[in-house]
Amino acid sequence: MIFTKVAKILSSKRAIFTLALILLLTSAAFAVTSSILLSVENTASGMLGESGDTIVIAQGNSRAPFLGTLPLAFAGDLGSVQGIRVISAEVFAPATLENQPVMVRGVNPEQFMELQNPVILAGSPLTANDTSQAMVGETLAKEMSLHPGSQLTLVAGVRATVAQLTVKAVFSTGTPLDNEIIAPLWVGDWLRGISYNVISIIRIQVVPQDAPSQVANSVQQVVNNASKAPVGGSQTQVEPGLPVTPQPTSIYGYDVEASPDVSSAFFSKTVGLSQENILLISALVFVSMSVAIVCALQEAVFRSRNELGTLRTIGISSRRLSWNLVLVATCLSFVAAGTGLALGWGFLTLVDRFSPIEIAFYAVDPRSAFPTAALYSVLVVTVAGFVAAALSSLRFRQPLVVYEMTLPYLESDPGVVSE
Amino acid sequence: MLSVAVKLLLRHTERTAITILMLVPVVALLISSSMVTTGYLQQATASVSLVQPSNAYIAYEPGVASPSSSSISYNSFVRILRSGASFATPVLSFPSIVTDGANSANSSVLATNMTEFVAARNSTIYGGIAYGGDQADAGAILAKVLGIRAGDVVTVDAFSHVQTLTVVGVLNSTDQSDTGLIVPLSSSWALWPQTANKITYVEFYASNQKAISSFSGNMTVMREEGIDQIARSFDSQTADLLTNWTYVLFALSGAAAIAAASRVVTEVSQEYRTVRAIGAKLSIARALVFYELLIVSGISVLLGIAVGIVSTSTLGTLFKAIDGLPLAPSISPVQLVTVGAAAFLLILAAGLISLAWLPKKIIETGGAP
Repeated sequence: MIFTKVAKILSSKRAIFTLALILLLTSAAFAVTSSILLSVENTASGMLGESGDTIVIAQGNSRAPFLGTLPLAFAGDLGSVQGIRVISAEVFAPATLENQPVMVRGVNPEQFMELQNPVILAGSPLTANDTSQAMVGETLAKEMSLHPGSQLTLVAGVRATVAQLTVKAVFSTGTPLDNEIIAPLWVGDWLRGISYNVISIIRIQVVPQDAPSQVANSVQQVVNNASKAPVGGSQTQVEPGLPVTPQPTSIYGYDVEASPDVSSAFFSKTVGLSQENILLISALVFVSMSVAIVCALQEAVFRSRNELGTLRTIGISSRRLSWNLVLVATCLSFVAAGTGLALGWGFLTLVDRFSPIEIAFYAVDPRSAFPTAALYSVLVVTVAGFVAAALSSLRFRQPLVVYEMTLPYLESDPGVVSE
Repeated sequence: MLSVAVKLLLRHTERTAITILMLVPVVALLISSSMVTTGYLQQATASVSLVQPSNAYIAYEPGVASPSSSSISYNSFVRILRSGASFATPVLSFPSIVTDGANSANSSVLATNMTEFVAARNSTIYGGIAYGGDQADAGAILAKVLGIRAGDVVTVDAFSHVQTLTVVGVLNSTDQSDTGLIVPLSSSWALWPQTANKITYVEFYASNQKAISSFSGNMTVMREEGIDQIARSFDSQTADLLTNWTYVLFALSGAAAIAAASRVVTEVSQEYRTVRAIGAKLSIARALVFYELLIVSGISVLLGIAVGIVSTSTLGTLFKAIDGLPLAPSISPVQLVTVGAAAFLLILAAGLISLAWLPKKIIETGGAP
């Protein structure tokens, strides 16, 4: 009953609309900020192709995981590790296609198809004997209007060479790989400017019964042993289709990293893109907006002070009045936060349509992390509304007075105001 | 009037302090984000300027979809060579089916000047280099796929003509030529008359842009290395993201400033009933609010700039401690003045909007005298 009265009193003032607008904007801003940053982080952390059951092995001391190199034959050394289902040796080659940066991933088609299991949307999958064919990810194919039969002229990013390939298939994985061109391993080597004995990373899919972290530890053990041994390493040639010589086969002296979170750790280290930092940045937005929330709520309460004072004079206790005020403000915050999410979603849709976000070679869907961001946003804005209302209601805990209609101003000298 | 406003502000120090404290975070956020954004972009731009584009080019027929679809006369190569380009290599490429014994593969014939080709591509040669009319070198990948060895005789089906060639060596150039059969240009012209005096494209090096512009009107010239384009594109992506982020922050700060300034006007508007009660006009009351707003905004902006610098420095240290991130904010006096002035005008504009509602506020806060 009191709740309804307080709600009616507050809603009768124009200031409440300012408050609702501020809450709505804060919710939308928080959701947009955290959704974009979390989406970027999600994309960045899956760039190498990690997933719940896939580990990446990369050179630990390279400037970036996809710029490192490993001996191809090292993939053969891993055959003895328990819990491995598929091993895929891959080469990353930054390139440009029609002046647009694209990432070419050189793979052994059979191993890649077994590990990634992509959905072929058009055309037929890459096979071991395809020398100058490639598969294109769904996102890139849409963006550049590519289809089976399209000719690709890829200009290498870090070496003076050009590769002319034919699109054989368009695939979808639902991962950042949908932004890539998948080509035979040797195409990656051409564009990257490394010999056929060398690769960028090894991806390992773990059997369902084993935990990826355990397998990663076992792999790291093998790596540590092999990298410390001055001679050794396997003589296994894992790519019979390639014109490789047996050397180098050892990873002696290499700093190798095996982990399910290689990309995530890299982006966190180099650009500060981590969950903690994202929440910190979102919190900064919130803190600055919380000033506005407190101001707007105080304004609404201030303008309703006569009506709220009347409620007190007819016998409602200050405690009860305060709690109802807090309750109304919290409910308003919750509703405004929910509505702000719709505004945020709309804004993100516009961003995605008119100003697509890209990080390196990968398009980012800014809405991919929206559910998580929305949860944070509603929680934070509702709590902010609660705290702001609690601060504003403090004045009702004090003895009721007619608000500052006193004479202190007349007691001081106002100067020449009356002219 | 200004002195009256100062006196009134000093008379209510607690209220003035709270108002300033409300505005300081808004200014600090703008200053902070501006410093970090500019610093980050300066670093990114500096990195891009370090990227040296390659001097390797490929020239082919204008208007075609890709270099492999091109067909130009051999004279184009001669013209490029005479224009001052170095290491120019003519390349004729056409699809073919190569068969070695029982194995065959869809491949391509790559006809070129063998000596220049091997030198330019730094090829590793297993066996010999083909110079004779019926000789060929197999690319390393083609050799691996078909099991070709030096001395093998292969058949090549192209333009509906089947020719027999002897493989004298295997070339590993670690590029696309490794998937084809490499023959001397003169051999190709003789064996497949359809290709006589034709080439597909020319590869060359040129450090002089004048040399390129002398023939670029008749041919499409493409740089063979895209690192500079990739770097510029990344720089642009970062700049776009950070610039949009700054716009969002300004919009949010604007909303926050409106709320805070509205609160300021509401708080101080109580005085105007008193001021008007002693006979002052509404314009006098408005002028007083304006002066108070001016003073409060000025102090808030000055404090906000100081807090912004300190908080950026603190955040930089925090980021570095958490992730080892080398955050290097740009601290430029001009930038501080610009953003500070923008923040000042933003708050003032927000206050003026609230000021326009002053008569309404006076009525709402207790009624006009």
